[in-house]
Amino acid sequence: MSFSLAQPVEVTLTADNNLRPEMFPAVNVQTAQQVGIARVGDNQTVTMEPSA
Amino acid sequence: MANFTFNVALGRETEFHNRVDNNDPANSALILMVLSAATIESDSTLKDYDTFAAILAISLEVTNAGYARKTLTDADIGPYTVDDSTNSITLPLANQTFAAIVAGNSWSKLVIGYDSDTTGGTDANIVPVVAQDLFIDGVATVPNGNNIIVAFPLGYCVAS
Repeated sequence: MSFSLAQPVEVTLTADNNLRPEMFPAVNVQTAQQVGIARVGDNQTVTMEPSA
Repeated sequence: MANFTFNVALGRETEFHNRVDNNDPANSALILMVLSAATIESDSTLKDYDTFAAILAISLEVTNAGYARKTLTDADIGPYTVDDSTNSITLPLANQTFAAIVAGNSWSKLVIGYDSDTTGGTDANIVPVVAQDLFIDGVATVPNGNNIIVAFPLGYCVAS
């Protein structure tokens, strides 16, 4: 059985839901590049020093 | 590891570049070759070699899927520039993109050589001019399937 919603459902959270800030620890977002994960389209750029 | 001019090309870098830029001889070109970190001799040994063939007698060229040497003709390079304030000549080169290089060999060094005749030339006829480390954060570049762009913001050689 499946359901589909014709209209977006809006959910409003209130204090009555007992949601506290500590339930949502800060999220540390890093880019894929920062954590060393290569993504399609990430170029690896090597900058050269001129020979002398 | 460092950047250096091969002994055979000392004092000749600008003229090699100028030859290609002026299309004289017509089939001259700069050849870009990448050496693998897997087997590579020391800088002091490499700089003694006079041809690409001599370099590759022991050191290995990378074999990553997607890799091919670059052949740059007069249409691909610009003229050298003279700086009278620093008493030097800079040999420019646009960014070189090696597209979609698959993992395999780590890239240790780029060798730029001069081929006077690309139609009949062999590695025994290509004169190595300069070699430069292909390092990112101090280590050999590890291909991961994406493009590798080699940038030369200050040119590939400064003669003074």
